[in-house]
Amino acid sequence: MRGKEASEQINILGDDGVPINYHLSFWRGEVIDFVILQQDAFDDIDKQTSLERQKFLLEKVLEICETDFNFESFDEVNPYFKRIINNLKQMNYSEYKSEKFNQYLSELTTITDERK
Amino acid sequence: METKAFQKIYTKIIQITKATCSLRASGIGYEELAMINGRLAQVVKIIGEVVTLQVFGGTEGIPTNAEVVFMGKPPVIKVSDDLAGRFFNAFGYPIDGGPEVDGEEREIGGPSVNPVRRKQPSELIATGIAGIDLNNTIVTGQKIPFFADPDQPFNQVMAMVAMRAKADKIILGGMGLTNDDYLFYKSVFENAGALDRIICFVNTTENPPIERLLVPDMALTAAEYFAVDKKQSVLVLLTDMTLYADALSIVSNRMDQIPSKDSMPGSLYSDLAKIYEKAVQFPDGGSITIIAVTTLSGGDITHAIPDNTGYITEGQLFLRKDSDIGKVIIDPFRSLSRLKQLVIGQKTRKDHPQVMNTAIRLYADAAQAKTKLENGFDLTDYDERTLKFGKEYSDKLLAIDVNIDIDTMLDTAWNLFSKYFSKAEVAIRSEFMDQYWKGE
Repeated sequence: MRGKEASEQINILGDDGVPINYHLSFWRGEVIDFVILQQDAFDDIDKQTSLERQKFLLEKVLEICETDFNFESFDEVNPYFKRIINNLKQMNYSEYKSEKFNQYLSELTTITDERK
Repeated sequence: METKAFQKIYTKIIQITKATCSLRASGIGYEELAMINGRLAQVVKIIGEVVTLQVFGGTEGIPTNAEVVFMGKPPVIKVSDDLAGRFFNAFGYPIDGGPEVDGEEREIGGPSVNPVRRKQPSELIATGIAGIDLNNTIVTGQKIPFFADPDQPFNQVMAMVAMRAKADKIILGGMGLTNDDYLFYKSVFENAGALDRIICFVNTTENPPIERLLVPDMALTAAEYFAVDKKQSVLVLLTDMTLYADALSIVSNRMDQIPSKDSMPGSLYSDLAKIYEKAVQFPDGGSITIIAVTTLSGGDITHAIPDNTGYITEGQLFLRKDSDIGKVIIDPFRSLSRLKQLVIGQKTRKDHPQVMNTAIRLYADAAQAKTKLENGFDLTDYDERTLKFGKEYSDKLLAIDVNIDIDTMLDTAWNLFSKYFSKAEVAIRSEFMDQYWKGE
């Protein structure tokens, strides 16, 4: 299911009217949107990315999208993915493979490991 | 405008419609002015010897043997420094009881400035209104309209913008102004002690509607004098362009032109572009900034007037009444200043673009939470917080009664972020987070 379809279903049936899976699909879509599709053309680093960096981040995002995270209830999904998105965005704003970049990368791994 | 000696007087009108008269005459040019029984008229069509005149006051009471005298020139305005502080009608005659202005005579409605003589606009105009300065920064040399419903206080907002903008001259082109609005502008300008910077060309609802066709050209020719000859920064206010376009449609329909969409003339785009494209930034500092008003009927932006306007202007500022806070706000979703990207983060603080985007993103979340609430669903903790944020953001930043400088706007936004959200939810570049985040 696509993120957009999931979001439509959530809007029609309500947050608790759909399986948690729907929320997961929606937020996977949001990750792709915020991290890959929305590029900040006014940021010196994010405005141009090398092919290598693009490949790395795209693979990272796809890896997250393909991971099955475990959630007890739907209201855990939003804050969790907000953290992931924030971390990936900070990576977008950092020089590729710089100290900061690697730091955010290891933080990201810690976050994703929490719910694997 | 009086008749002079040795002028030919025509006395045989061959056709009369509600707004035009036709007669046989020779040696006449397009846009030339004429007098018909003391009423001003302008040549709008020439086919062979048959000249069609558009009579500004309407043709009611004009006999077929009326005396027609051609002036031999198109409408002109006399330009000099004496224009400052004066009020004129659509023909450029004083209506403030003062003497006529003496100066160089210039034809109105000339071509707009050659692009190679222009400079990329880069000076921001601070208005104190956060809906403009923070989200849709305007710059000198820009052309931008307010889209508003007729019952919204667009004249008040525009007067406010004009008084706060640091322009050398403010030129008001009032088309179909109600007498109340005219007096409002007059008293605002007088009370601010700014009369020496103001020039007004006013056509009120009491004047014939066709006359207002001359107002923008009068205002912009005066503006060009100050921007080109005097190298001043000039702010031109045009209100209301919808009434201008209505006058255009009256004339074109009376001339048997085939109407286009919404009974507007087919030339609507060119007619509007001819006005808006006069906005310019010169390299030597002179500039003409045009802020116009386009009133919408029932918020319909697909109507020919706002639609065409949107293609010409560099964005639009959309006024909307926010029922949650009971104030008129500048709607961040429908407003855009296309030239803001030339100044934000460069002439303003570096965090400006990110703060602007984040605030609007969170406001969009608030709008979504509101729909959820209206549809009767339970709200999550995040929804509750966005709703509270949305309300306060609207009140403290989007409302038109805000008057603060841009740094204060940014600080206000940061305060709201840390009041309602976690760092991860705000997700602004960490460099700015470390510097401006107000929480722990």
